[in-house]
Amino acid sequence: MTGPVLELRGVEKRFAGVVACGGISLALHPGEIHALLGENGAGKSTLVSLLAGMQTPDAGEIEVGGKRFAGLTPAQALASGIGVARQHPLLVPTQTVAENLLLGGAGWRRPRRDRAGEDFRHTGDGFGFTLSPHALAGSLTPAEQTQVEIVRALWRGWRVLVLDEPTSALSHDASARVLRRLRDLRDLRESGRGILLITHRLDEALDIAGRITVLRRGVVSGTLGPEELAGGGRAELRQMIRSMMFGDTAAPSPTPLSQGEGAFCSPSPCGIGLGGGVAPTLELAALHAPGLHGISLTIAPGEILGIAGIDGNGQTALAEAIAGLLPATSGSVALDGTPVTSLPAAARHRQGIRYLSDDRMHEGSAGALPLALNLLLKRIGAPPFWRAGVQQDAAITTHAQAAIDGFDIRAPHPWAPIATLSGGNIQKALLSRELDGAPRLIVWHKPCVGLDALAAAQVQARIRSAAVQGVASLLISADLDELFALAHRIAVLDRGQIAGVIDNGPGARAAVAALMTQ
Amino acid sequence: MAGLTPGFATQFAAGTLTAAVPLLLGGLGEQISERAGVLNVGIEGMMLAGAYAGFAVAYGSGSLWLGLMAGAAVGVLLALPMLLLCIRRAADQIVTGIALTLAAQGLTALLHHVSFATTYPRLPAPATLYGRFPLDYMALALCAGLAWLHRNTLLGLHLQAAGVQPAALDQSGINVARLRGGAVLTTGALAGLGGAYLSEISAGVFVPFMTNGAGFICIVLAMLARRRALLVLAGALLFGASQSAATALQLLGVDVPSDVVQMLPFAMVMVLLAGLGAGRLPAALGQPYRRGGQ
Amino acid sequence: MTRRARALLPFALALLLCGAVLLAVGVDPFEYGAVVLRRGLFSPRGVQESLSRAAPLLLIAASLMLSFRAGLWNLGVDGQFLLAATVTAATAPVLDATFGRAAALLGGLALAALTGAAWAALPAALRAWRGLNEIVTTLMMSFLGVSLANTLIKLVLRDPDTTVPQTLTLPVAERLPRLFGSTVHLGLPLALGIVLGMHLLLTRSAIGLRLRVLGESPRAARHMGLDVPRLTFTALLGSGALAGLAGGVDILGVWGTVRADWNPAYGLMVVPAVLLARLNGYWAALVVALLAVLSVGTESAAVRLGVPSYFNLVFVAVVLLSLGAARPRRV
Repeated sequence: MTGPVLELRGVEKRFAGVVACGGISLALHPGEIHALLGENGAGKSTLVSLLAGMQTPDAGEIEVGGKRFAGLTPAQALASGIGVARQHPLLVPTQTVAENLLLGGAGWRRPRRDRAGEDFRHTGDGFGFTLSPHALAGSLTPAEQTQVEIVRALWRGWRVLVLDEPTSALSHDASARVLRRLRDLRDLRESGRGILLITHRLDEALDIAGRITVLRRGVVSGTLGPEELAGGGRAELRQMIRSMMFGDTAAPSPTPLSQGEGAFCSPSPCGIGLGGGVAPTLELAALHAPGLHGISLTIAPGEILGIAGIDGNGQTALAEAIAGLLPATSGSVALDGTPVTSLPAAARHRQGIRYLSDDRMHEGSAGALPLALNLLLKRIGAPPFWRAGVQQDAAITTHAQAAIDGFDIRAPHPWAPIATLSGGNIQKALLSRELDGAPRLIVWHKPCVGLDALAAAQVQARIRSAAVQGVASLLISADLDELFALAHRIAVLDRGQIAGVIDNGPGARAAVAALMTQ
Repeated sequence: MAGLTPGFATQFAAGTLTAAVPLLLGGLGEQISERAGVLNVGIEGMMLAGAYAGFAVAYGSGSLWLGLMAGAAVGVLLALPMLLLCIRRAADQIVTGIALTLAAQGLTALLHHVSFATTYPRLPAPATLYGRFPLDYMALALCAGLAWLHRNTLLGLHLQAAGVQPAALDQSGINVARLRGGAVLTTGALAGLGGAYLSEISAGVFVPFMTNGAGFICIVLAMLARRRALLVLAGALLFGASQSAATALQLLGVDVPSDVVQMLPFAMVMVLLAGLGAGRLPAALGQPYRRGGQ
Repeated sequence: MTRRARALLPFALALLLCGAVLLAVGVDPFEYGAVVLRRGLFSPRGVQESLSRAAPLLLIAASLMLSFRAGLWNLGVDGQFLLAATVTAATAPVLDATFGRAAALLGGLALAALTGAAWAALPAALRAWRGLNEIVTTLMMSFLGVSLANTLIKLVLRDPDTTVPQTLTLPVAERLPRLFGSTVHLGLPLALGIVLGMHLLLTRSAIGLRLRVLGESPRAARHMGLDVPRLTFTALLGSGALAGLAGGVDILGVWGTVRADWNPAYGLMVVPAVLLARLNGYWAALVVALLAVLSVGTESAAVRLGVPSYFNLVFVAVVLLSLGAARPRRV
């Protein structure tokens, strides 16, 4: 058996004319971990959908297990032994983990929940998962959902394992265990299986992949075989892959983010000093709310306080408690020394407390409503955009045009429904909404999640410039690189409490990692 | 009250069951659709069409069973547009369901007018088995069977997944459209059967608009019961008891309008809802599903 | 085929199918159609009757636009309508006798709106503060309201001088003023104004935008700092008030009384009309006008040709189904 287990030939997929995959060819060889790298929008996720059978290619073919397909159905993908773990898990929230695994058999069969549970435990053990198979899927954290997704991919016996960003929701330790286990699985060479690992983490790919393919804008921009990978030094390889991912001319961003390269990369994030006697912009004192257990912290004017922690440890509750969306059960929130604990969200917004949601599509914006109105949704009824409750189109258009120009929002028209814009442009619109007026404190909740490198760099530049202008920031992020590149101090949130606060600087990364893995 | 004898109690219980069986059949059918993510507002029309077809065939052929089968068949026939429009073409389920109900109301009224409006024929009382029409036992057995199916088969899990997160089910290799289509046709058959029971067994006569909201009650029963088929039975008995009580009171000579008694189950369910605060629906209920279209 | 021709296709299909059904039962479809059109539209009496019929339908359309735009399914308009009609019919004659016509009309309309709102209040509160699905609760309250109205008429509000149980009757001369010597009453311009006003409110005002954000996504509404429970409660309450007002207008304008077991069940017809109009007030007014002509015309045809008036439901259904097949949409 020498041929590849899985081969794509000239696979193309377009969405409404936009190329997602523009003729991708790659081969997965038995006994190999093949890493697929690329920035957001490079076509990785579309490729995963094609392999799972959830999309049909417009052209090209997929050959798996000696059979050729113009396009797979989910049933064909499963029958061909393709096991897929998606980045955004598809689970039925009202069913248990075991029940989710059982889906798909013949309808008249009995669901053997106990046996599925045992199998789940058994497979999960290898990865160091400790999740109960009888937990409701809807109650799981993103990290736990990823665990279910990985076990499910292995569930029905696999020939090709496709893992889409399996470590992005996991802690550092958990990621390491998963990768170790994958290495073990790869070693079953004689079984004729292969693993396709989709990731944006360069070092992860370099650590365990035997072959690396880089995608850029829907096409393969470069491949590194075993010989190249064995031959080059780590730094050299990294540079090579980066130029494949972003092109030779375009540097990743004006102030390059470290791609997992140790600590603190930009010497002084905002270049402003924080004197000892400055009165804080935001002060939380023993704040209790559902999901928060006694949070005390201060943020000075112009300071960026980073919040690190595994998802589901109270990040959303913290953001909403500050914004006024989640009422405090005790403790206080003060802005510039004035308590705002009892004020509702709209009043806090007027006073300068802003909150950028992490879900720009379903929470941060109302998709069917025009861009121009979305820019004002936190100020509905306010003059000059409404007079006596009546909408003033001219004023609203002028306001929208200013935002479009100022934030470089690419939109066909100010009155186009915001859902017709790309993710990056929607985020720019929401940034302009939160920065509009006189913000005093902004909660940035995963501001760059799902954005490509260029858009992310633009967003980060906005966060910096807001800080330079004296706006206090609370930056919640799952991306440590982002936190170390932007924040002055980093607080670690653990089960609704602050586990510790670390000043950014040499050694900060190790200290934060230690707090996160306590 | 002199009339409160054991005989009266038996009669009341019998009346309750007779009134409950159509609701039970329709409710169980609607439950299957709703679990699979299809809100079938057309069930009112399916029951009404089944009532007419069942009565007409039973009257013409002299066989109640043929009539019941015809009722179920017409229910399926009426469910077909639902399948084609809502599942194949992603049309709005509520609009389609209302349209089907309107069509059934208009057509049965017209057909009744040209066939039975002058004679108003009655069917003879059905032959019984241990005092009940055999379909009663079958309906109860069906309820038990479905209770088991929803909980103890993969099909039950698949229905639930289709109603909550159809993409997850699709990815596991199950054809969501086919499953939902099957659910809709089953609903049609059960609703048509329930309607036929209503005209053939409960009433013995067809009257235009005779379902009088029974289909909507089935929708409510299914929504409240979620995946427990036995709760559909409990609800059907509750509504059946109130209808039976209304006639029983009249027989006793108690001068209370039937409307008063008929309010009771609705009021009771409202109080239960307000008190218990249940009522979450499947997340994808009413949403068309198309693979890859997020 | 041009777009305009394609838009007319469902209607042509509905006409064809209905004609075929009529032929099958031995009625000349052309004669039937002529009677419907003449009695619904092309005769002075018919058009006046259609316009009067349109008034309550328009108000129900406004009620549904308000609720659907906020993403809420008020399927209980029939109960709100009938209960409000009953309360109005029972009180307006008394008010008229004591305080005069103006008090009877204004008081009757106010009471109707209040009754409709009150009947929507429980589902509204349960949805707003307990998250209880309003489809179930409004349907339940609708059945409850219809039965309660009948109970009230039979037991409490019954006119002692009639054999059939019904409420007191407001004399014809004391009802809503007629327009320009016709039988069309003041309720029509009122209702038309309210539908168009509702359209403007929903599309051009701050409160309308709040409701639209809520309808688009309750999560987004909460994020924007809107008081979601209060907004939900208000929208459903307003929807109930308008459905109640429809009942009041129909009684004060046309019927003058409510008989026991009377239930025109307008709701089931207007829900699809409003959805077809995509919650647009202008289109809704047009579709509702068509419905009014159809229902008045077929009622006359029922008397003339012996075809039950409910046959018009088939026409509406076929139009809906073929439009649904041609143009899938979601609310």
